[in-house]
Amino acid sequence: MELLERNLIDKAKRGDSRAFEELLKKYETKIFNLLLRMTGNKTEAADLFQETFISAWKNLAKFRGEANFSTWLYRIAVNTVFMRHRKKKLKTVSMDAPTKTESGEIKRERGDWSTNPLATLQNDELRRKLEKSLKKMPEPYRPVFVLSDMQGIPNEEIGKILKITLPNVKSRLHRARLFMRGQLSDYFKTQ
Amino acid sequence: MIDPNRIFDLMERLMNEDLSLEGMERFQREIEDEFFRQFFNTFKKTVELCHCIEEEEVPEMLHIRVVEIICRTPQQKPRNPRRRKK
Repeated sequence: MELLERNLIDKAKRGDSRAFEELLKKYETKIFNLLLRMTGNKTEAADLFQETFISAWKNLAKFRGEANFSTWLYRIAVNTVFMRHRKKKLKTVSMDAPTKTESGEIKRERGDWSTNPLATLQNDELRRKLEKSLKKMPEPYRPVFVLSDMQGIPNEEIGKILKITLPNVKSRLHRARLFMRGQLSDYFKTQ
Repeated sequence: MIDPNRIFDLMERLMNEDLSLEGMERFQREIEDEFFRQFFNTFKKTVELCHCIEEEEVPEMLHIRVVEIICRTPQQKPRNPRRRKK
């Protein structure tokens, strides 16, 4: 942990809200985007964002510096989403359940769209398709996918955040990518 | 022609995240089976596209609201470790 961050945490622990705001500035975009991608809803993400940082502020004394501050913060954010979903009694998917989505298995399909000139994020339609697909992604894979492929967090760190084993992180990430690939293949079939 | 066992080994490594995208590229050149080549190409492209999804900015009002709430929210006091030992 860098010295500046350590100092900010120490100050914030002593009740310095300005120091906490510096920490907020450093991590808010990452946390907001994680929440946004996990919920697929801006209003809900904003609510959860507020809850996450207030909880972090209140419980800062519990942070002992054994993990990275970012890992601790991510964990609060992920738990906040899970708690909210539990309260809402939303339908959940078992973590061990096999993926039975149309793209959960490799289909013998035709067509290599990887060189299609439309396969770029300059293509607004494709970008929207990616966003929509992410909303449809099975819940257990979504946080792993967002943390890894969108935020570039190493798998070991993701395991710590979600409290799952490294092989579990890898397998969920792979399934998430297969799911996205299936969604994109469907899109290119109609082009 | 690439040995089918090698392809399965490759798929397994891909599943286990033990194969980097660069490693995948090397194998792609060896693969003659059209299905596998297409699979690897599209899989790699998917990951590349996902890496490029842009992040959204935090709405300014949300940032301000959180800071305001924090300023008037008391923090929880740390537990006394001596008490726990009793």
